[in-house]
Amino acid sequence: MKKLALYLSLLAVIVLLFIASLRIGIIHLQTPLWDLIGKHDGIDATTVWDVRFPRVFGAALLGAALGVAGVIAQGIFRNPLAEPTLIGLTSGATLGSIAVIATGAAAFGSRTNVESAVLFAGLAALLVQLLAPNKGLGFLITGIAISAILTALAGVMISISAKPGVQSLSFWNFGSLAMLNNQTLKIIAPFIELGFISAFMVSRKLDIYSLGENSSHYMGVKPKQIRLWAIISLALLIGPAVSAVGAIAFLGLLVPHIVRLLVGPSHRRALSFSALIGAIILMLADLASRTLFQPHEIPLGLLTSLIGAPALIILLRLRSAQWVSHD
Amino acid sequence: MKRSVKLLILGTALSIVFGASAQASGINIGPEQLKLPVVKSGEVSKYQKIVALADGSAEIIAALGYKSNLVGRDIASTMPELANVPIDTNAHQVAVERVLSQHPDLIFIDANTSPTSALDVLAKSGIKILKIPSAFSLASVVLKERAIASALVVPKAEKLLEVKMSSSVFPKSKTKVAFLYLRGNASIYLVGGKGSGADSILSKIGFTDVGANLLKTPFTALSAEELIKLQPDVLLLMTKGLQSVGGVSGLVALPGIAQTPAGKNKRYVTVDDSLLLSFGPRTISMLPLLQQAIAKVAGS
Repeated sequence: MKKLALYLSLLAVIVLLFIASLRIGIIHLQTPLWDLIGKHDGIDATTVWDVRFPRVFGAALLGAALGVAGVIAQGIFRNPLAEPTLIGLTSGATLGSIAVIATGAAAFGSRTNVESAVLFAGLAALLVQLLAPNKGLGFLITGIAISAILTALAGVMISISAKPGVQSLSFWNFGSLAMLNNQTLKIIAPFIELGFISAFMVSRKLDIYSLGENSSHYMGVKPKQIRLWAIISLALLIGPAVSAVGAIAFLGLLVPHIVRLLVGPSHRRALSFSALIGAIILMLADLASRTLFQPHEIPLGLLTSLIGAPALIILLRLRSAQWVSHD
Repeated sequence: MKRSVKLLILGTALSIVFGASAQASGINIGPEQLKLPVVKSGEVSKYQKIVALADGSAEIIAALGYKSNLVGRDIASTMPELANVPIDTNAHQVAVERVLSQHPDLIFIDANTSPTSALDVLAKSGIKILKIPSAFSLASVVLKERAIASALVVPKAEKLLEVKMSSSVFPKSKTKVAFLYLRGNASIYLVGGKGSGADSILSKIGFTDVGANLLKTPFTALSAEELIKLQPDVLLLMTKGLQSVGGVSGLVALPGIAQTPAGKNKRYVTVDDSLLLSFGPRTISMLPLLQQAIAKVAGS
């Protein structure tokens, strides 16, 4: 009952934040938000529906995706530090995006761009899994090394390409929702929705999988199959996010830890709560990034790092934080 | 049945011709449209071998009539008239050995000339180094020209060029213009504000620089809402800047552009990158062309 109340409260916070984010910005709306529904002419209507709406909706969608991806990554790799950035997914998606833009095969924000990001994110995660030793910190160190290689390759491509839309390394590394529009949202949303469905299906078996490979095998869960399924889910969640807004740091790492503190270690439960908390954090960060230092906008990834890193340290210091780690 | 098919074809054709998307209305101003104003005073320059490292100083020396005295120039002076003068900078850094090999008797530098260590080496070699003011507005072009002419001790040439550079008076217009500095492949999307350089040009030719009216710093990262607030009628861009975002289609896809009158009607003027903010003698020649281009685009 307590968890239901918490769930409903988080939903209410999202609705309130959504309305506030549509209302607040550089332009002070002269028309009440309610009266702008269905209108598309005039400065107020275009500001709300063409500029603020894709950003706010995008923040909610991508925040939820990153939160869910964090839970899946930490569960499937049985490591509380396994977030998409550390295990090669983000840099794989970045390289996939840049590769098609820099070679002129696709434009920034196009479907091909998203598909390439999804494919490369999945391949990067598979490569990390293939090369990583089974014991100790080997997995994370391999992830960091593969990420460094992929980021360097992406940097080389950016340096030698003058194609429009290739963007800078700072865009890809620090993320920004500024380039997000309704068209891009329409392209990435179906991929992320598929990722959510896939992640929720994987999460049913993650609790058993977290008991260890031998135990899960005897309980009818095939480790190889579930790992592949999880990597596909992660690629579907991370690829579109990175291709549209670049890398957003710490969210995938922080959100699952907050959620475990609130609702315990069950992956199924953690997944829906992570989606809500991820959405709230990213919506708040986006609101802050575009309103705190007007007319300047702070890169979103910088804000999530500034908020996320101290929050993570506080969580680490809290003894009640529940870690799930099995080697 | 046949009649309805005909109507359908006619309707489709009309929708293509008068479709919702506005036809692009843009004009480009390139270096080939301008000639460097050059004066001949007959005076002999005090210095015979000059290296012009200060931004745009080579252009002024050539305009004063002393192009043949130039043995090296900076990377910003890109006009075709100076094609035969070697560039003495590597990626905006002074190439010391190259300068020394040209045995100059005078080097012009400004606040942007770097690195300091290279300038120290040149100073130690005994070559006269003169620092001249940088120009970031129309008003400062004359100051820069006077500093160079005074160093060369060519007072007649200085006066002749000043007369040639005295620009016409332009009519006031209600057209609102925003200057955008774009480098799409480096994620640089900036709106020009007060002190961008474009503000002095737009104000001189009678247009309102909406960026300068609202933004107190020379350049601000482009924010969709900021741009919508500005509501420019025409966008002023650099030629390569527009190319770097993928042309007009890439421009209107940038956040906030499509929601401005300029974006909706695809009204823009591009000026060659080496020309727009070079603030030299060619800038004065560019003014009437730019005024006509913006007026034509705004009226289309």
